[in-house]
This record gives sequence, structure tokens and C-alpha cells, in this order.
Amino acid sequence: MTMKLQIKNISGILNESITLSEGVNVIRAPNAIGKTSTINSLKVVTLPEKDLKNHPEFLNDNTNDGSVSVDDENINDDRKIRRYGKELAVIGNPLFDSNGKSELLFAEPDNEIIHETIKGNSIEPFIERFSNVAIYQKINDDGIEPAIKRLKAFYDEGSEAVTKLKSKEKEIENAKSEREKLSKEREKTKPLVEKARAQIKNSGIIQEKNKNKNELIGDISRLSQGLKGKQKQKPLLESELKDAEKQRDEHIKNKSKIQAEQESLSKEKGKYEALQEDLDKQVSKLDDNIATLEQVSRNVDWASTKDCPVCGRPITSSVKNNWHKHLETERKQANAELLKTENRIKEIDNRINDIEDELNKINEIQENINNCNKDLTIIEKQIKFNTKDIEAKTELVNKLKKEIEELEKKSKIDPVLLKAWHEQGTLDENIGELDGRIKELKESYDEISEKAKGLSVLKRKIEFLQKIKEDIKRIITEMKNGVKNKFNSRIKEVYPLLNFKNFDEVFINDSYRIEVVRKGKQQELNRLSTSERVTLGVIVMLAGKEEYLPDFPFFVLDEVTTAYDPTRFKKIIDYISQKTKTKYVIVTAFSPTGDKIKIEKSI
Amino acid sequence: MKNENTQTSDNENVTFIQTLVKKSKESKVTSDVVLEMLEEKIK
Repeated sequence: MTMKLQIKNISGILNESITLSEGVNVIRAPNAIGKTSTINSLKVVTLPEKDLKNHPEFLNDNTNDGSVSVDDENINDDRKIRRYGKELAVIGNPLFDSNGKSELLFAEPDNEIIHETIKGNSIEPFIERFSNVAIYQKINDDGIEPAIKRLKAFYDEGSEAVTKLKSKEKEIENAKSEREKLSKEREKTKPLVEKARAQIKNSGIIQEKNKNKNELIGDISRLSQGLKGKQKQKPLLESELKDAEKQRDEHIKNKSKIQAEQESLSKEKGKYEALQEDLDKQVSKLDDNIATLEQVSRNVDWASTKDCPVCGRPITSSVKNNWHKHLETERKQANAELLKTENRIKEIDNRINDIEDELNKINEIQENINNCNKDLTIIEKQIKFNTKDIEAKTELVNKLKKEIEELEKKSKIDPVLLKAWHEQGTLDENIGELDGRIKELKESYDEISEKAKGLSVLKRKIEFLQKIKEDIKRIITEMKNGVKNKFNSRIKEVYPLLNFKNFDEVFINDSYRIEVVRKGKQQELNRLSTSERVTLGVIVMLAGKEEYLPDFPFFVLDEVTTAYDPTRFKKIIDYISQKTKTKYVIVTAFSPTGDKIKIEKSI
Repeated sequence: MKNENTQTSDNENVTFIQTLVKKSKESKVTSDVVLEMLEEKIK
């Protein structure tokens, strides 16, 4: 069984055919002859587009198009790459399906497992990516955490209101009890005041004026309380305004840059949309051509008819088949281009949306500033108006006091009774003032209680989201541990089969570091030689391949051989070729001489 | 009874998380999306 690779314009290879046979394939050559290019060719037919597009070096520097075709018992197809700005465009799906786990197939120094193991680091980022936990992490970081933060801010505001509410309740209670005390004292003055009233001329008028005066005193008290509140609120609003302006200025620095990007993206989108339209037409035309060809095929007996019924030229079945194949290939390429264009449009749309979010944020801040300014103007007006109102009402109170005094002077009255009359007047003034204060306190109480409403709902929401956050954390841990455990149970199976005598046990520990047991003692990576670490990295990769991709046809060992001791290295190669379903073990090896790649069966 | 309640609550959490995962495949899950879902759930 063999696998033939036809490589065109991949890295250093311009046009070469390489045949791999079942078992071990040692690609031997001096440097810069094409060992890595061959491995890159295998990557071209295996890696998903997202992993290929950032590797422009996979394409030969002197060309814009390259391809790798594979011919073996299951596959007879090719995959093309094309230069696309600083990236690569890939036409077609991978020919070998690694189910997104291609990291387990290419053992080379750049491979994350090997790289981190050599450095003695944890392989947690790899396990995280491999466990597909990113989606949960993103939901938590972009959605849950900020939502909890926002709810907590609302909750704190509400809690503050509840505290204020309690103190307002106390204030109202105190004012009411003081009022009751004053009312009792007033009751005591009543009999003497009754007598005084009988002696005073115009007592009705005086009583009326006193009533008006006391009501005005109540109003003044209420207004003064309100004024105090507004005077307190003003500096807070001014500080909020200052903060918002600062925030806006910071965002505005980037505004023109972002707008320029938005404009350029819109232009780019327009170009891609035009391209999309062209490609749509091209695909539809190819569809029509294929349909016509199929229709003609159905109506023509290819064995007996040698002329095309449409154009009248001689035509054979094989010409028809080639024509069909050519049209299908063209359609496949056009569809791939179309998909790529659609993806780019999606990417542009996403970025444009992000930019719009950013610009909207500036608008939101500006709106906040406008609202703050409005509130400040209103408060300033209210302060001015209340101050004037208080002044006018105080003037009126003083005028009434004078008028009452004049009227009292005109009445000859017993001094004892007059004293009681005045005492009652003072008490009435104080009661009026308290009434005004109680009224203002109640108004303020109602205002605050609005803010406190819904606090219990907010609390439930926060508690619910905190549980969700914990659940997501648990899911992430379980997923990571699940992957870790799968790797560990495979390592347990694979390691004894390698016939190494170095370690009693190899495993990934709870911190996602590779650890070994040697002579009954647990040892972390920093106690091991580089050669041993590379070996362990490869063992973890092999265990992963056996767990997730047991039927995948090849495994590559590129440039890691130099760090191995040859006996251990041979054992690994023997294990893969003899005890796994991997058909092709591909190993690169340096040769000091020669000008061509040689494929050998042993190291 | 307590167990049943816990079970119901766990199921609710799972459904909520599943909806978030589904939404995240369509677009970015922001705090606005979470709060909107929460608004329907807790009134």
C-alpha cells in the first residue's frame, strides 16, 4: 500500500512527486533540500483553513498558487492554496479529516505539547483548547461576569437607598414625636388663650393672620429641607459630569481612527460584495453548463453517436467525462472562493459591528453628559427658585408678624393672658415648621423607596448568575479533567508497550504538568533531561492520537529526532508502525550529503 | 422535596447555559444578552 504526494510550489518544492509506503518512511536529506517542505505539504492536506491561513511560508516565495494532491487507496484529490494579501487562501476541505485535532499528528519542536514539555511548563492551555472550553470561558468573561457587575452596581444603589430609607423613617418618627410633644404643650395654653381671645379686639383677624403665618413657616421649612438636598446633590452631579467628560475625551482620541477604519472596511465590503455577485453568477453559469451536459448525455447514446448534437463536432464519451470533470472542478473552486468571500464579508461585518458598538459607546457617554448637564441646569434653577421663594415667604411672615403685633397693641389685654397667647403663637409656629419638615421627609421617603423597589429581584438575579458562573466553572473543570483523564488512561496503555525502562509511570497531574514516577518517587519535568522531556511530549501526543484519532493514516516526527537517544527513538517508531493502526510513520532525518530527498525504510 | 427542588434548579441552570451556548454560536454573548434572558426568567 502506498500514498503518492504530488507537491507543487509548497515551500521549497516546486514540483515533486513523493511516494510513501506503509510502515516507516524516513525522509533523509541535507538541510534546505525539502524535508520540512514535504511535512508542510502534509499539513496543507490536513490542517483546517484557520490553521493554514497564517502560514504564507507554506507557499513558494516565487508564486501565488500551490497545491498538493494525494493518491492512495481512499483518496484521489488535491487541495490548493493561494496567496491572499499576507495570508493564505485555501481551496477545498482537508483531504485527511483530523476532526480539529491535527495538533496530535505533527511531533516537531513547534508543537505546543512538545514545546511546553521541553520548557517544563504546564500544558493547561493546550488541554483548554483541546477541551473546547473556550466557548464557556467567553460566555463567562463577556456575558456573565459583566452582567453580575452591572447588577451589583444597581443592587448597591438600591441598598444605599434602603439605608437612607431607614434613616428617613427615623427622622419622620422623631419629627412626629416632637410635634406631639408641642401639641400637648399647646393644649395647656388653650384655656388662657380662650380668655385672651375674649379680651382682644379683632381676635378673629389675628387668628387668621397667625394661621397664614404658620402655614408660611411650614412652607419655608419644607422648602429649606428641599434646598439642602439639592445643594448636596449639585457637587455630586458636577463630579459625575467631570468623570463622563474625561471618559468621553479618552474615547474621542480613537474616534477618527475608528471612523477611518469603518470607512475603509465599508469600501472593502463593497468590493467583496461585487466579487460575491460575480462568483454567484459564475457558479450559476457552471451549474447551468453541468445541467446542460447531463441533459445532453441522457439524450445521446455515446456508443453510437460520435457528433455532438449541439455543435455537430465529433465527441466521445471520454471527452464528455473530461468535460464534466473540468466543469465540476471549476465549480468546486468557484464555490470555495465564494465561501471565502462570504467569510471575509462576515469578518468585516463583525468588525464593523464592533466599531459601531465603540461609536455608540461614545454617543452613550455624550448622552450621559447631556443628561448630567440638563439635571445640573434643573437643579440650579430649582435652587435659585427655592431661594427666592423662601425669601419672599420669609418677608411675608415678617410682615404678618408686624401686623399681628400692631393689632395686639391696639387691644388692651392682661399681660399674663398675652404671654400665654404669645406662647401658643410660638408653639403654632414650631408645629407649622415641623409639619413642613414632615411633608418634605415623606416626599423624600417616597422618592427613595422607588429606588429600593426591586431590590429582592436584583438579589435573586445576582444569586442566579453566580450559580451559573459556578456551574460554568465546574463544566470547564470537568471538561478539562475529562480530556486529561482520557490522555492519562491512554498513556497507561501506550507507555508499557514502548518498553522503556526509565519511568515506572507517566501521567498528566492535576496542574496539567507532565509528571513521572521513577524508582517509586514522583518527579516533575524540571528533574528530567531535555531528551527525556521530548520523549514524554511525544508519548502524550501518541496517547492522544490513540484516543482521538486511532485510524488517522499518518504520524510525523519532524526534527525531534536529534534530541532522542536512538534506542528510545527506534522503540517509539516500532511501536507506532507495529502496534497502532497508523499506516505511515513519517520521520525526517538529516543527511550530510546528497542533493535529493531519499525515502528509506529505517533510521 | 429538597432534592426535587435542587434538581429543578439544576435543570434550569443547565437550560440557561445551553441557551447561552446556542446564542454564542450566532453572535457574541454580552451582558445585555444575559440580562435580557434574566429579565424573562426572574421577574
